[in-house]
Amino acid sequence: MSAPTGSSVDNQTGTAAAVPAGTLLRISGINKEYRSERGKVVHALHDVSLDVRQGEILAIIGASGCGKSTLLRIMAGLDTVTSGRTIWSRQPTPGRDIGYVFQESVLLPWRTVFRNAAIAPETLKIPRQQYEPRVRELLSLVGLTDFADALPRELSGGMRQRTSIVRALAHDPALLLMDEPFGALDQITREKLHDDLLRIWTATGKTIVFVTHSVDEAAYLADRVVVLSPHPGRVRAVHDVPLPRPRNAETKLDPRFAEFQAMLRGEL
Amino acid sequence: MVAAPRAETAGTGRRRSRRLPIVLKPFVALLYVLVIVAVWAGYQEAADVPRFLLASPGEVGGQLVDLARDGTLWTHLGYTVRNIGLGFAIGAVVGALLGVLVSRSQVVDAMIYPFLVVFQAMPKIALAPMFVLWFGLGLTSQLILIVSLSFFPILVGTVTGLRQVNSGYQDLATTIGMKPVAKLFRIDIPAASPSIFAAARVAVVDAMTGAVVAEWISSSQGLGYLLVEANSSYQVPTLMAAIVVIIAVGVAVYQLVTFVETRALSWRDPVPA
Repeated sequence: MSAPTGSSVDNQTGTAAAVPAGTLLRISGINKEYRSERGKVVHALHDVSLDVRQGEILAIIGASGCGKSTLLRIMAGLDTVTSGRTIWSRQPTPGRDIGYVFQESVLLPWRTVFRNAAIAPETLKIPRQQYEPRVRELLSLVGLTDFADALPRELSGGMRQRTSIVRALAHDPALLLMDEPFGALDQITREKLHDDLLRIWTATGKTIVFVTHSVDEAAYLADRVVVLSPHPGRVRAVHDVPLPRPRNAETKLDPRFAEFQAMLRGEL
Repeated sequence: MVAAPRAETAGTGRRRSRRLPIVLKPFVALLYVLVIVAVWAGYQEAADVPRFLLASPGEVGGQLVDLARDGTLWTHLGYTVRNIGLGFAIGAVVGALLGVLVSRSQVVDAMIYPFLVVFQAMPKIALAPMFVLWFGLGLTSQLILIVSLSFFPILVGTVTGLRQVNSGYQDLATTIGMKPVAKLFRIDIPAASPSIFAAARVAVVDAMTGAVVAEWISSSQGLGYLLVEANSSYQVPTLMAAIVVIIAVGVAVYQLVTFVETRALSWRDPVPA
């Protein structure tokens, strides 16, 4: 808590030489402080270091207030760090290399599902005939083919979130970041979307980092789980998930699935 | 697959609940007009009001037909409608531009907002003679009055709308690499458009008031001029015919904006009527 506050924003991004092969992003000794509305300094992240490996699914889990969303926003360039480094194997271009799924779907209500999903390639000025097949394919992967021309208000919460996942993937980013993407959904819809996500991951081989407060979600989806502890947010542990792929209904019957969850719960 | 029926029922339900009032609306309006005319005619007869104070519906109607036949009505109507259109268009562009500047820049906000509020507090109609003095008897001073009346609602509507834009859209724009100018046109303005359209409905009626008052003061054409001319020569039926036409124009321009609004904002959740 005694780290210097404020003025010296040290938001470097490093070069390729600094990360080992197979690592997409190395986060090194990150601190994040901000001033609350009452003027109090809040230490959101304290000396957080972790690697994101190429092609893995990494879950970041922790109680509310542990800074897990802040950490994800820093990876996406939505937030700056107070000190520390984010080192990329290859520096990402905004809108090209990262797809981001927000807690709320943040769809534009005047755009159809297709046009919402296609906003990133459209912004990159890619010709429609190039991105259209890809967007249609992704929509069919999450079962939204028949809703391509529907407006957001005509969709259920789960369908909105599917649309926003497709949107995050439409420009074929190498890295998919998701901030509690299924948090606002009911259990049945969540489980369907988990399988959708695994199917997309198998089909596309993206690197996926997602934030969650759900132990079973982390265990079911991830290759590795980062446990953060709150006040200030620190890395408490990083675990390899001891479950084989493909993950499916049988995974949930595996005794290791329950054991692993119990272990994670113990750390939260 | 997710259960789909929700979307379909929502769609048809909306269409049905909207179609009914649209069919009935003209009848309700017609009924209103009939009731007013009946009360008017009844009062005229019962109270025996002198003709030079209040013309009967029949006289006013007859005068309207005469004015339409000899072409006077169309000349004046065309002039006024053109001025409303032109003044409203300029006012909308000026209001929207200032609104964008005020909402984007705290400096601009601090600099011009107090001035604008004072300007709005001034009765523009009282300024109209000054406009004539400065810009002469003619189209310029008329348009200035119309613009000065119609830009402010649009400005307020634009600022309000832009300030209410979901802050999540900024994060979205950042993650997809959308530049601020593109975000303004492709996200912020569409998101603010309900508020801008609500303001436009007010502004277009203000533009009409401005057009009529301007013609009253500084024109030899238009419905406002017809009003003055009839008034100064004690032509009560003509005076009242002009008023009827002005009301009709006001209703028409309001309905026109509402029609465009309904079309442009069909993506919104249906608002319970």
